[in-house]
Amino acid sequence: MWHWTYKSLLAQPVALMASIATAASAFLLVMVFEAVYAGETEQVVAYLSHTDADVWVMQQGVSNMHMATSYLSDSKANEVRQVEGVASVDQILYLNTVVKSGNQPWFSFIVGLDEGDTRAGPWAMAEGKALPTAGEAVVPVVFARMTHLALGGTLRIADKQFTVVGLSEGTFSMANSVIFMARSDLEDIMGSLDIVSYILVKAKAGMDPVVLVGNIERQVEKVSALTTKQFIANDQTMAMQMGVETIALMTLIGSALAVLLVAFAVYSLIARQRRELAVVKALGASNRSVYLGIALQATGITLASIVLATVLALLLMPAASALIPQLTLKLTLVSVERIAVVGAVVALLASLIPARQVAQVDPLSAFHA
Amino acid sequence: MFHFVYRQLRHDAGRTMLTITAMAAVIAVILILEGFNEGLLAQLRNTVISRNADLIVTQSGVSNMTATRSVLPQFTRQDVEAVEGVAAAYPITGIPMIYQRGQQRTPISLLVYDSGGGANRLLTGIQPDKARDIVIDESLADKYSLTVGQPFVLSDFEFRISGISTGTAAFFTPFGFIRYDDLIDFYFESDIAADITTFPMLSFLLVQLDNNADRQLVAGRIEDAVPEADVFTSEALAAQDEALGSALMGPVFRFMINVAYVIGILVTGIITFSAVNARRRDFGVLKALGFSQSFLSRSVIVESFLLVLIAIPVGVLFARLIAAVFESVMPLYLILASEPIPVIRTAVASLIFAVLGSMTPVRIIRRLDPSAVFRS
Repeated sequence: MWHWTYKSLLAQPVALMASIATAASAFLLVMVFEAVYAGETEQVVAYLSHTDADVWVMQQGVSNMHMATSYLSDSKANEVRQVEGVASVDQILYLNTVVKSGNQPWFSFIVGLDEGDTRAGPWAMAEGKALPTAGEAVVPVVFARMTHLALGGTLRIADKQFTVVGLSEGTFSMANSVIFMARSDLEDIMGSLDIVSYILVKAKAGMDPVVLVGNIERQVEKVSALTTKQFIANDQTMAMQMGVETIALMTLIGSALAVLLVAFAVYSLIARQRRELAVVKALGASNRSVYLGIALQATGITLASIVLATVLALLLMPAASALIPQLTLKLTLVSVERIAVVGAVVALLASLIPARQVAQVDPLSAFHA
Repeated sequence: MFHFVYRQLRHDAGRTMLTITAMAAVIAVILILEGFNEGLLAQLRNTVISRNADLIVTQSGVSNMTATRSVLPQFTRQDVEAVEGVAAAYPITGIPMIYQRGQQRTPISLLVYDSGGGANRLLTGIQPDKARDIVIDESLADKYSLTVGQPFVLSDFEFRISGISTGTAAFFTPFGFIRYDDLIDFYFESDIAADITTFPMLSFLLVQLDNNADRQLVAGRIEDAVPEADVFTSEALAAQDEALGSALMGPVFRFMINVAYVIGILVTGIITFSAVNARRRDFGVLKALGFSQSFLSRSVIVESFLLVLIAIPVGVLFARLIAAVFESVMPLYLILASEPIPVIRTAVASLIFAVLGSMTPVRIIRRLDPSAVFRS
């Protein structure tokens, strides 16, 4: 049976290649879509993941950052500083709004930093300085490339203009791009003084962040505190609703098409061998052998398609990222494995239809024609 | 010729159906993906247009309505209404909020209005007319199983749902509509913030003009009278919001759509090729029976053309059905899956690639030795 499986597949090289090409195209579609989804999912919380804080403190009732409105009097930072187990605190002001560079609008999260606040600022720089002072802004390098913005260039928020002094790495995502400026400038834009949005708390060595959260909520009135891990999880859930969920839906639809195409490719190839399989059966092969042979062919086609699709995806993705800097693509091994398993199951199921037809056929019919 | 092609397709009806289904599925998926993009832009456009204003006044330097912070001085309304050609100016304020119930949270946009600018299409219930009334978008009502008359708690402030609106979501965010009378209570009684000066009291003015007033002329007069403001026609502001949506989601969406295009169209070509290639033996027989090379080649091309022509309306139908299912399950999304331009683009591309896909087997047919059929 092994020999027949192998020879039978290679006997129709053009049909085999067409089937593999169809299935590989389907797998490539899903891989690319999953890579977009995985990339955005990770990038959407990049800022929170890179800030050096153990606990986040915010306005009571608020539990994330994305699209949230959190305002506290800046005196709360002093109160938090006094809590047992707190090593240090930093504070940021935060606003989401539309930023304009030239005529290009962009929805951004603006983080207002205090002077010298390295913990809440950008973590990697492509160019320029990381901490802006009054009238200055640090923008994601991807945003700068998109809008042809260089150091010394200007961007606008409402009627205020800022000079770009730094280009940060890793701070850009479709749903969550972060621009840094001085807190005083952001207060000015918002028309409010002495307010902060979030307080970033560093715990003393050996202090459990969960315990620290309890301490802060007990000792400081009208604030919510969350461990960084919980805060990131909350934010990711919220940010996913802003665009990333759409990518998930698109991936789902792409996957449905892929399932159909893989099934079509395998079914077409196996169905073409019905007559040959009937002859094999007439020559004494059992139904079990027929099923096994067909299953092997389906698995072979799936594996070859997966390998081809993976190679193509690995070639395509760097080129796509270079051409479209806004894209964050991430193809994971888990994703490839999942696609391979689902693809193999679909291929096996699709091959069962012609296999069943052959199993039910009278072997003599092969010689009637 | 057509009779011959028709008989060929009917000969293996099962395979013909399968081929049409596969092609239609490819077309449907491309149209659905295009539909997401078109729907996102249409929602942004509709948010501005459905405010029914001749002109919209924003904070100076602000040229978007959605997802932006615009703060106008409180006396701007009087200044604008004093301008010649202005019949009325209706204030609205946009406040981004997060609605939370249990562990579920949803970002919403609270639109505060006076008498103009509220939700213009109610599915059920009435516009807010009593204290603490709120109209919410159907997607929010669906997600949290909310109905008219139920409480709607936002930052510990209890509203009562007076109506549920449709077509009132944009930028992945459902809208809630409340009256200005409730705004101050909401600011003071809710847990929204210790300092309410951080929140805008007036974001935009929706301007109605006198009959026969020139929009551009009045816009210029308003900008002269209120230097802290910019003035846009509804269409211009809608175009700005569309541009924002395009800039933000466009590159990623277009990338995904283009990948689907390339792969889908390639697959259409491969399917056509496979369909013809599978019948090489039949073509050999026909050649042996005296059918000319050019006749068979033309029949193959016509067959592919016909298959795609049938697959296109089926694909559009599939796309509309899938879009309707998605929209009913997730009313936050608008999926415009049968917009003319994407349909035409997809149809033309599919036809071209189907014909190209059938060209290769045409070459195979040309090389076929009719006698070989009888030797096998």
